[in-house]
Amino acid sequence: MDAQREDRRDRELLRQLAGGDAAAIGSLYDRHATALFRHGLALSGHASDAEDLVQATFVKLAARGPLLLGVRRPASYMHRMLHAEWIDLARHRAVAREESIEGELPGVQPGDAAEALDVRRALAALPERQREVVVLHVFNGLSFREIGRIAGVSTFTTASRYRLAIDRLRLLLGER
Amino acid sequence: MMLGTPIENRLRSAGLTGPPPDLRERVIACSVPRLRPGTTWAEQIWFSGRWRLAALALLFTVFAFDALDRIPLGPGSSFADRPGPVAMETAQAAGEAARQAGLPGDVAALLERQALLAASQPAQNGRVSIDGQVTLPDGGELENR
Repeated sequence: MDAQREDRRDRELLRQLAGGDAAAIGSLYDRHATALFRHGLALSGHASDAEDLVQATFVKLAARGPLLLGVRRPASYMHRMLHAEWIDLARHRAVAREESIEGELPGVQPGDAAEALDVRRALAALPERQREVVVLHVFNGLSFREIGRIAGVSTFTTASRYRLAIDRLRLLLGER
Repeated sequence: MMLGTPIENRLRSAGLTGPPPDLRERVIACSVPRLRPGTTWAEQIWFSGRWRLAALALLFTVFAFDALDRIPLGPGSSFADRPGPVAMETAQAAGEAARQAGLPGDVAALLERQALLAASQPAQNGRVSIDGQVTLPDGGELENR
């Protein structure tokens, strides 16, 4: 029920955005930027790339105009756009996706607790696709079906990636 | 309330950082110039999901009515030319008369069938009353002397 109400509110904001209302961008940013940033972080492994992905997503959203009127699930739609942006970015840089996670830990800041550092290191060690599913499911609360739509794979594949990721995280965090 | 396995709870409690505070201003500064001035009513209708659904439903209804009219009831028949009770009685009377006149059964059945077809389409073929009066398709009458 809450999800439907949220979707309705988001659709109203998209309608305003399609009508040229600049204030709608701020409202949409406040509602979705954190989830989109986490998604970007999960895909790229770099905070700076995640920022670029969020920015590119909102710029494209603003340019869509009347196309936004037909969007039924705005949150899912924005995550799909971010996913597509990441594919473009990775292609342009000719970066192999599985290698791109090695450089930086996702979302680690100075002063983080040791437990948080451990968990984030373990997340960083996951392959990008598995990390994307974990972040979208655990942190953003999306269902496997929604994640499948965003990533362009089946629900079964999404669930399978998640299971593999959780098994690996358990191993990395010493839970077995 | 979020429930989950211990590993999921452990992940959640570790948390992930959010976007930096200055990103909001940057996003708005980049996005506002890309905004389109507004949508026309035609665009609003064309891109509206409800309008598309309504158009689809209307199209489906039209096709459904069209198909309903074409459902065959038997060989060479449809709702439009199904014989009425009067036509059936006329045909049965014709068949009975043929049998009483001594015609073979199959010939009588053929005559009955022909009478039924003729009685089913009175507007095109004209009508013959019991007293011998013939009504033509154009409304004129002939006296059978």
